[in-house]
Amino acid sequence: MFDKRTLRGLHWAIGFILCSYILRLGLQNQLNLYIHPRYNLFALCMAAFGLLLCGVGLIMSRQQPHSHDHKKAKEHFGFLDLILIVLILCTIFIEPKPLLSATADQRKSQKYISATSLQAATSFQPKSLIDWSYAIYSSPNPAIYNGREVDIIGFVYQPKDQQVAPDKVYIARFQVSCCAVDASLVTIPISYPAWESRLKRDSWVRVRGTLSAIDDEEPWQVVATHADYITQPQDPYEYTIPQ
Amino acid sequence: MLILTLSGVFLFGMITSVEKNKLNHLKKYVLLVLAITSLAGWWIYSMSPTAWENLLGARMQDFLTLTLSVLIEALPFVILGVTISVLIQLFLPPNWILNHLPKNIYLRRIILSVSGIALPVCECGNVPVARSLIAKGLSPAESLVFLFTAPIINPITYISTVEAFRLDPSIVAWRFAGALIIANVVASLIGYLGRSRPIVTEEFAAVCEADEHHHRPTLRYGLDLFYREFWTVLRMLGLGAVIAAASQTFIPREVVTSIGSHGFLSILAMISLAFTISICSNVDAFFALTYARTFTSGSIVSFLVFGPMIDIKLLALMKSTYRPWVLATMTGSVFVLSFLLGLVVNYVR
Repeated sequence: MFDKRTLRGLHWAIGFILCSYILRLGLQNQLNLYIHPRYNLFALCMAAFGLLLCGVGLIMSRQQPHSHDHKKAKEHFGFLDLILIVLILCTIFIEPKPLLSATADQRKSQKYISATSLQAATSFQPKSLIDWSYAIYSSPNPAIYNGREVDIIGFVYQPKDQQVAPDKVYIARFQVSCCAVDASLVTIPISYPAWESRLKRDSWVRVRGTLSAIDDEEPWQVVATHADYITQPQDPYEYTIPQ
Repeated sequence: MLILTLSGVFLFGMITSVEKNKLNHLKKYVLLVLAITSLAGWWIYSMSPTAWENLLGARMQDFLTLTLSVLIEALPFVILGVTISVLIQLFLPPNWILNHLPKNIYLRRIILSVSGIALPVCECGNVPVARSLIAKGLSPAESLVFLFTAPIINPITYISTVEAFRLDPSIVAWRFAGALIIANVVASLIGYLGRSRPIVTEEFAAVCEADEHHHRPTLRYGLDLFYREFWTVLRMLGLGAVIAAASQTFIPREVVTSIGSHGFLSILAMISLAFTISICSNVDAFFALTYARTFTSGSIVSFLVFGPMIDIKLLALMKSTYRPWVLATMTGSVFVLSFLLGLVVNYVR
């Protein structure tokens, strides 16, 4: 068994490192890989405050503990402590990355998503992948989009449960309303001959082309003229609620 | 690099201090493995920062991202919630509430039902408050009204639930209304059954007279309180985050959607989940959000109502105060009522 003081020190240190991790992500502009940007300020303020408290707690735990705990407080190093330590080691060694195909396979592509910014469908000018998906699948008259120029960003996605077609692949993007666990998948099929030799799965691309109506199974697709690799965008997800 | 060095030094310090204290063999072994793994990890990392990405499968990477996302989203709310709870415990005199409760039984129940607004402590912090209320003369059955509603009807839980379910605000209304009704029904039931037999344990009844010593609000005492609550919540949160992420990453989508879309099974699944993971009410909305897209709304509401009232951790805490028949009755009745609430929500929506 740990003695109580060491264990307390360990717990304070875990809190300290977790708070500093949030601050580090904030400084590196990577918080948005995990949470909606509207929380950034709140998260950073509370993390700074938590860092301060845990720091003071850590220092004070080195001194003789004041015995306020009654007998009931059972303190020992357990499985739950181990989980947090392993998580902390992961935050140290593993670069933060946005969700990609592995999670996409676990989600069904959402076609009828409600984007708050899209009330007026007639005057609506779709720009992003999610805008386009919304425009195509929720418009009462999608034919007006036929032949329109499209310029979208997303990652290359081939659903696990679909057969690989030589000239058809998906461009996908996650949409987040609170944090990454609620990310919903939005995809648009693109027609791009011999894509497997030209596009790497899970890589970020900018696709330009025209929208066209095709077969019954997938009523719409983008006939891509260009598909260029890009670096991972600053905001890998799109957000349902304006920031 | 600084963090790496610090954690290395920290682990080393831990192991040496552990030696002194005769840690049992298994734990020493686990720590040693951890230390070696982290040193090896550090070594690989310093050689090539991208090596990990290749080593770690895409699925594991997403699992980690999801786990951290729950943790990072919830941690600020935990810090805020625990801080407020500590401030209240430090500066609010223990019998203040009791002195200000009305004598009329219905009015008193109403006030107790919403007193969480003024006392935003989460459920583990509530057990001591409820104990002190009983010790001060509140009837044990009425203490249950407070115990069950306060974790749900309080500002922190309100904010986090509203934030998590921005796209579906009716969940918030269902959660609060459901909590009010269930808490009062269960408390009345226990009060009715408790007319002929004692509700609180003998030990606690004995403690009631002796228990009161008020602490001066010093920094050390405040930190002590903060530590106890923060740590209880944080470790449960860690486990909850891992479970949430694992169920999204490793359980096949077909299984999740077939259970989640089933009106009956989904409620059963979410209540069992609430019972086992014992996640704190201040942040459980973010956890529930994980399932919001695949599970029925009724099951989400059941989870959000049942979890703060009954779970493994709470039963363990409440065992110190209430007799076994009370625990069994409240668990059974809260379960049945939350289940019904879930069915109603599923039916209405």
